[in-house]
Amino acid sequence: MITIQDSLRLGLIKFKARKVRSVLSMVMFAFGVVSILIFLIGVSSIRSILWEAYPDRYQTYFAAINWSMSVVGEIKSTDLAENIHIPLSIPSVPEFKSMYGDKYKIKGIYKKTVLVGPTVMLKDFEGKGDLNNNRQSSVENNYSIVSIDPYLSKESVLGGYSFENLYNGRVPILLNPAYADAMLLNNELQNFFMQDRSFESFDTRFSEKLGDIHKKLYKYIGQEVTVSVGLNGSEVLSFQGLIVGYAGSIQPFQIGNDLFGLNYSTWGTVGAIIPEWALSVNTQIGTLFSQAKKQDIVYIVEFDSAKKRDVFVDDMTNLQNKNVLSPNGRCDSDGVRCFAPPASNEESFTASDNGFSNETIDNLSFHYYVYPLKSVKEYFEDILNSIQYLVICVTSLLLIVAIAFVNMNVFKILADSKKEIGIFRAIGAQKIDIVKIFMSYIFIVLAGGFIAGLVLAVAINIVLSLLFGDTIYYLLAAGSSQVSVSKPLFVFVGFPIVEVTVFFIILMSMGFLAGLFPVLISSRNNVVNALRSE
Amino acid sequence: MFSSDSDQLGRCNSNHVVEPKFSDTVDQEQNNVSKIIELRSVYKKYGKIKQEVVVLQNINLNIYTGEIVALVGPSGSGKSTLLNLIGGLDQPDSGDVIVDGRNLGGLNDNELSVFRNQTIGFVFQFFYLQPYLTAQENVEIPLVFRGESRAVRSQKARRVLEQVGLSARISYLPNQLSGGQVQRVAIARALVNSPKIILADEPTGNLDMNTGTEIINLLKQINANLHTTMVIVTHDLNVAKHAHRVIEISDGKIV
Repeated sequence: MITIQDSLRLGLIKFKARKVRSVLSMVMFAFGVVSILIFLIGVSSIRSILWEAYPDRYQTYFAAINWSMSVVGEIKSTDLAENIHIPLSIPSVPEFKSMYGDKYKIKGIYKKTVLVGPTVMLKDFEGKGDLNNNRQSSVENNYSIVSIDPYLSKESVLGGYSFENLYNGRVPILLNPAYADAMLLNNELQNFFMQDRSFESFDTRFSEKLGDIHKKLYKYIGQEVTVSVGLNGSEVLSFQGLIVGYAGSIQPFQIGNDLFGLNYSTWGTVGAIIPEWALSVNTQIGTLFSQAKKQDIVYIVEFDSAKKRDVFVDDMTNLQNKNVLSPNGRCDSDGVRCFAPPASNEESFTASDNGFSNETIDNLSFHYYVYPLKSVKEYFEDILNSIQYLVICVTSLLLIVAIAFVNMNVFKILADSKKEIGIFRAIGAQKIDIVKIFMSYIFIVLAGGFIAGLVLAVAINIVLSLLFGDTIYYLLAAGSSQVSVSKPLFVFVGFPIVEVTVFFIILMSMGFLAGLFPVLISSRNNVVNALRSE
Repeated sequence: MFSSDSDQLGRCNSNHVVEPKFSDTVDQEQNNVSKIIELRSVYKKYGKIKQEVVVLQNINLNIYTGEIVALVGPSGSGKSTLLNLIGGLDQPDSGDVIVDGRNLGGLNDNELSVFRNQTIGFVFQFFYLQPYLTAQENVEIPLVFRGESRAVRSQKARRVLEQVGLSARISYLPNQLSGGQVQRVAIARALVNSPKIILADEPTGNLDMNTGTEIINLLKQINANLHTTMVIVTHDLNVAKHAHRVIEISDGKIV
């Protein structure tokens, strides 16, 4: 009986003997394959970049937002000097447990060190200069990062922490949007609350502008910078930093009517006026944690009320009825955990569920809201799944046509090989030998077509991602408003090995089954008649 | 042992079985050569009822080890059919075909394939070599179906190609060889499994006279060296005269 290797060899010879027809079959099959694989690979890339590759990020982000606010504690006054004394350090495990053990369940602890401290504002990348005279200017290609807080102490920056060589000795740095960009966002929010209460149009414009900010900032990722932190007036702390990401997520936050409080253009800085400071601590520490892969004792906590809840709703009417509004329109169905600006400085809201800090500042209270990225993920998953099913249906038809073509080709080749089969039988081939030879031929056509289709699909994905990856990323990042990633997206990173393997097995099985019947018939032909055939 | 005189026609004995004519110089004791092919009351017809054609009728034939037997007769006389029955390519409608002690009627399809691979070597009029395989690769094909390893196949193929005088052409494709060389490759392919019987259907039918003579001389040489039994179907009496025995078939009967 013929061995598998010899049957493959003879199958290959059969392929060469009918080169044109065989290659045509292979190409047809490849086209059927590539149409599905393009989509499978593309979706896999999107998924792996958006959330599958970095699941910890979102948990970290989620948790850090909350405890940082809690750690900050009550903001008693708007006095700048007092603010700097509020520790920004992360409590030890026992401290955390004693402070928050009844509120938060610790899910995980990361034990690497990272710089945690006051965030600093990078020089405006658009070259518009700093906003007050205290800032140090930067040297080209070496950005000075300064703090406007003249009272910031070295200890508060470094105390209790050490620089760890996370990125070859460089400290991870997050970029903040430029002042002008932040103002654009603020303007949108102002418009929404003060004039145009149409959530849909606001959401679109806000997302577009946020996407533009993402677009500007992400290209700096990977650049090395020299960070100079002004401390206590004249002292400067310098260190090498690596831009690993940017504060792409924005928590609309309001104290009174002053959204963002950007009048002082102190976006992302510590030691600024209270709203901005609170916002910046909230946002920056959270995203700093999320960007750096190895965090200092970051507690991943679960919110009792939030862990299973999808707090994403679109129904602004519902929110309005409850006199609760969210700039982003996202709120849970009870309308409780919504971010809402109070109608006046005097009015306050209190959170009724745990998991949200409810602080009162000079008769003002505020909520803050965390968007569980689970909802973002599900939102995009729904879109991807819908598209996926449609694409699979359409491309399956193409595949069936391709397999039918291969099958027709096999019929023709078997008809042409009748005498050859007769000769093989005459010199001692068994029926199974004939089956092996021709099934090997079919395997070569199908496998060759699949590999060609796979290579083509990967190449097309790479080209598409290079051409349109940025656009897709901006749309997704802007649309989500919460995604904060630290590297360029959509340069083909995701390869769905499992899906491709399953797809390969299914295709090969279908192809084999389609070709097996004619091969079996041919192997049983009468030998004498076969020898007499033309 | 077997005579190669001009009078090659075997004699029918009292049982209507064609027997060889032994050389007068052969000792009577040497008459005990074994039968390697035996046909008993073989009938073969083709076609459906009312349209059937009787191709072979009541064939009784013994062929002995080491004989060269030529089957002659007009077209449609049943020569090739008889060859196919001996080679296990076809089955008689009645009667027995016993080759090398085995009744072919009792073998299933796979057993017949193995039998052909190990016992029979076929040589065809139109050679039937694989055009995309070299001479050596063509010769190896029967060994491929036998499951032999690549090294063994190569060694055996080279040896038989040397025996047929083509050791310098082992890497040539069939379209690079002359007609006679191609037929030599085909003969080598038939010999590579060391068969006991060579069945040749018009082996010189597609060759010129000189080349045909070369091929017949080669077959005779193989017969002399290896004692391979040969049954050759031919129209050509010049070919038949080289056989030890000539059997004439007409209208499906041995005359």
